[in-house]
Amino acid sequence: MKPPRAAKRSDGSLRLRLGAGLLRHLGLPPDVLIDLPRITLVGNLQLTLENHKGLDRFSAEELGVATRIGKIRIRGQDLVIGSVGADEIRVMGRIDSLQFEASSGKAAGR
Amino acid sequence: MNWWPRFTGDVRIRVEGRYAERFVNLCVSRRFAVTGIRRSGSALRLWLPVTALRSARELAREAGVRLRLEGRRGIPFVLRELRPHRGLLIGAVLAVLALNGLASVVWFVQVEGASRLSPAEILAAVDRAGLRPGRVRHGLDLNAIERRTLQAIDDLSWVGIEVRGIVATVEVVEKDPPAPLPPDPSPRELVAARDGVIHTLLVFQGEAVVAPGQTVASGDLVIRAPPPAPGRLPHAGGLVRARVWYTGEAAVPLVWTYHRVTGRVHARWALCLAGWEIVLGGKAVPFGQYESHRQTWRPPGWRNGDLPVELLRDTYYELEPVHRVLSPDEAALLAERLAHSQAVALVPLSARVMERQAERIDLPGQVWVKVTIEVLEDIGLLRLAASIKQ
Repeated sequence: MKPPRAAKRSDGSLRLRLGAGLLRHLGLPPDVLIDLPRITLVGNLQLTLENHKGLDRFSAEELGVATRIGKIRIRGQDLVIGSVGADEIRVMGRIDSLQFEASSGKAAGR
Repeated sequence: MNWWPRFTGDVRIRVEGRYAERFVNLCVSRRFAVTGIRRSGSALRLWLPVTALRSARELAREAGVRLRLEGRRGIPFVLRELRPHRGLLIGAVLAVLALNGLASVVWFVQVEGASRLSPAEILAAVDRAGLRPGRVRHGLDLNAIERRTLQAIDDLSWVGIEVRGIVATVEVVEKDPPAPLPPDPSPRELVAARDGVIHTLLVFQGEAVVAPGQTVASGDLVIRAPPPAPGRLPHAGGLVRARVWYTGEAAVPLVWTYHRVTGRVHARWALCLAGWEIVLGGKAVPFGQYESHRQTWRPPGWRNGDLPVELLRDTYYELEPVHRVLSPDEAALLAERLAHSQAVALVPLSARVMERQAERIDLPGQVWVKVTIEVLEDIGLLRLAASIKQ
């Protein structure tokens, strides 16, 4: 199980690097080709995250979301997930901070 | 706010267990719309569509969590709760339908604007025209009813019907009766309206001053006013028919010059900026004689102001003079036609044409024609007697 999984991951990051280079040369927005997360904030009241890979941890103060480039951690107060779809998560509440964590850890969720 | 779940119905679920987030992810992977997720102690509370409930139990087992149903909302649940009160529901629907049905019927017809005519008379006419209490509003052809009512009552000059809700208002405007003219007791006489030769003279009232065959000028007295008598107005009356002449004349030169388009066209473009014209290339007009035609294009107005820019295209059509040489007879024919149409234009419609003459004179370089039309025409004109006017 272990070797093929590692191979797959290095293949994935290679694709990411190639894709990023290609996009830079073509001048395209980066979320179109490689499914990077796209985050939209409305003040500190609402956050929309597209291209997610699943919920990691959720409480009223913290929400972890798995993405292609690692985990995104949203901290705040009275957080509520308005809706979860296959591509999009909408979070409401008072958002205090947003943090990106490297993808070294094991991806949780599905 | 997403309203769709309100129609399909959704349920509130409490998800207990360490891997509640994993359950959410599984639901998302099955494309169930999960909404309103909140943390509640060690559990998550969320809304799921009611259709997803059966599969959700399976997913819960897979994720190692326990589900507890906490609530439900949406139309399907409301309907289910109403099922025991079916009579109430049917009654409510019937009441709405009945109200709707009753509201689409005209229950009252009222008349506005009638002062001399009685409203009852107008209502009767409107009834016969097709509008009466109890008629369904939608089938009414108001224009036809208005027209028929107007035709039925002579003393109306306008009828307008407005249906608002269950009330139809018939608005009418009555005719103003013409005031009878007071008889005019001043003496009147008949005079000639035009120069002519009297042909027929028929005196109904008064005394003839001229005889048939006599020439009269415009304004000459023809029939004098009768002397005043009880029970009769002192007005002259009669038929004065006279021969009247109308003439038209025209001269046509033997060499007739006019301009003809050759078919050669030249176009020039220009830009018009706030009154200044800037020619955009294009040579000067290469024709000696031409006719021009201008087309303009302006940009569509934007907000509340037009841009002061116009594109102009001037098109020049070359003209050439044409000299046509006419024979004297051709010129005479043309002149006679012109003169004739001039004379005919003067003849009144009621006149009867008796005779037509054309007189031709050949002048050096042109032909002159005079057309005279002789007609029989009524030239009697009633006016205040001259003795009164002074």
